[in-house]
Amino acid sequence: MDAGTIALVQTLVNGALLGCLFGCIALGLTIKWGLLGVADFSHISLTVIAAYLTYTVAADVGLSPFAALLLTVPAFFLVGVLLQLGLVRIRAAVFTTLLITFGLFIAAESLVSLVWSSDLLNLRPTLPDALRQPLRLPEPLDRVAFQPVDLLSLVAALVMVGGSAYLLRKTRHGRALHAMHQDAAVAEVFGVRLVPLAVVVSGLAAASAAVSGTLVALKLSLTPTLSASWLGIVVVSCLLGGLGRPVGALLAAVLLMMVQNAWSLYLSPTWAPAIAYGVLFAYLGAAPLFRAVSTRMAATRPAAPRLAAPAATRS
Amino acid sequence: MPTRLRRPVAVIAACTVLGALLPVVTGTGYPVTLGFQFLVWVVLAVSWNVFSGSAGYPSFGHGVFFGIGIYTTSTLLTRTDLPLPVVVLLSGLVPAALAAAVGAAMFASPRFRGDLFGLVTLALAFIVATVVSNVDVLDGGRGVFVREAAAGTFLANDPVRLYLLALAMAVGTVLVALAIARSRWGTALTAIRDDEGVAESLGVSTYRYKVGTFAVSGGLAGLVGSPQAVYLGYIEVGAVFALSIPLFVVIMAILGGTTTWYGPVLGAALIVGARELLLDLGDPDLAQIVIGLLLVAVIVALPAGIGGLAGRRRVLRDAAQLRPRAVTR
Repeated sequence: MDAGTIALVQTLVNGALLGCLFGCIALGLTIKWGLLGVADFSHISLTVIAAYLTYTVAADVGLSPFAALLLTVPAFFLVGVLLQLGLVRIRAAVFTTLLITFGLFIAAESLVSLVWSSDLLNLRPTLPDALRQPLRLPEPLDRVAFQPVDLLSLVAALVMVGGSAYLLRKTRHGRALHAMHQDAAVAEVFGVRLVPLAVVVSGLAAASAAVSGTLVALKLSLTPTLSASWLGIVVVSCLLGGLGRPVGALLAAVLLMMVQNAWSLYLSPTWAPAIAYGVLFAYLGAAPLFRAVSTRMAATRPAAPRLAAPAATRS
Repeated sequence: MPTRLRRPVAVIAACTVLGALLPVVTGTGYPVTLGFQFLVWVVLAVSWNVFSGSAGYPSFGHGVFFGIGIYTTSTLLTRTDLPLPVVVLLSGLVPAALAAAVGAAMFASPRFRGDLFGLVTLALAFIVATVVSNVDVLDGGRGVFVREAAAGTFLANDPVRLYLLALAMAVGTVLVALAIARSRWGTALTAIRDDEGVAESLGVSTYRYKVGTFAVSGGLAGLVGSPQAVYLGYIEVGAVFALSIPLFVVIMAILGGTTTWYGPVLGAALIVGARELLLDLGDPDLAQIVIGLLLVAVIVALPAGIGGLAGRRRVLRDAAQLRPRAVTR
């Protein structure tokens, strides 16, 4: 294989694995947005805060970075619960939640910069060798390398996203959540306890941000503006994948990052940040077009004879 | 002039005279600079409200139109010899054209409402910022020195002239907002906010009103980008398209109340005052935390804003006197 192909494969693999990480971050947002009606920008901020907490536990306290999960997962579950209780209490509409969580997003960015300073922080030099030794793909592609941390992202994405998809589709509570999304009043009549369900889902979403945050701390250099730079890719993944569909968001994130990385390889990398938004605009612009075409196709199908019959008898 | 417009126009005229007297009283120092910033925010908040508040389509992209106005001015001043009035006018027309184009595409589909409309306008900000920082003629990522380019013009190195231009724009914007609010146009926008389907079925051509008003709103924001570019002197993409600008605009309008034409002015006054106090704390991060939490607090405590409080009291008073309020006009 020549060097150009290797470079392309390498950049696509990197993109796909980074996409897994973004899929983990998008998981909580897409479920909260699609099924609870809470467009939660602050979910991204929670991920960044979890990453910084992981950094503090590993670099300053000196424990394993994974020990941070013992603190962040329960703490963030509580944060998610409290946030949802607050939103339920003021009966926020989707757009109101967007405004509120946008305010929290802005405040969180400054909070991080105040507590941890705006310097770049990097956990990698302090990691054990097992987490730093690059791994290689099997034989025909053995010149393509990836980091053990990326493997962790892949596993986390498969477990968290797959698990959520299973819970949403196959379990009683998952179906209750879908019912609540379709019609809360009817769902309540059929015995769905709306507030506890929403509160627990919000807590779990926040807990998933804690896990993603630890992965972020292992993989990337931390700066307070990370949240703003992720906004595009995470939100676009949620919209492209279909709101409330964790697997869709993961696939969209993987695809977007692969496209973005391939773009940076061949064309100007300074344009790369706009790609996610460009794809979003193209998708949103094309969706009504697809719908128009499909309704036109449905309309031109021959009418069912049962519908045509009354007209015939009248004449 | 119709009676119903007499009082607001009198108030606006009085404020204009007082505003124009400010530089005479205080000289060219800090009050004029603060006054200039306040007037820019008034234009932004009121022009946001003209569309987003009135029609119930909250935009997170108002900073884009402002930013395009700023960059139109900087580009035309540094690259061409056009006279200043033309530059100022184009700084309004270019963002208005963009708003019209984006609006024409977006409002063709009923999907773009509420949260999705907010996000798409936010995405617009990121796209425009990426384009500006990559195109050398506009910025190219190095920033633009406007002060040197503006040296020979009417606005060169004169805070009072900048202030008076901003005052004229603010008064103009408020008059536009008032005219729209008290006309058929405003009624149509209110109908769109209350129930778009019903408005459409009653013969309001919602699409045209939305596209037109969005363009007016964007154009007014771009217009005030012109004095802002000269005021800043040096501009760069990160600061011009910062997320905090649309955030401030939304907070001002919501704090002041989106149902009245004067609400955003009150909101702008309160936020600019609060920001001056917060900057005295010495830490911009601390100020931003307070602003972010303030947005949350305002939405939770005062969903209709301060203007909403006044409006509700008037409705109650009118009801007590059993006087039918002119609803349509």
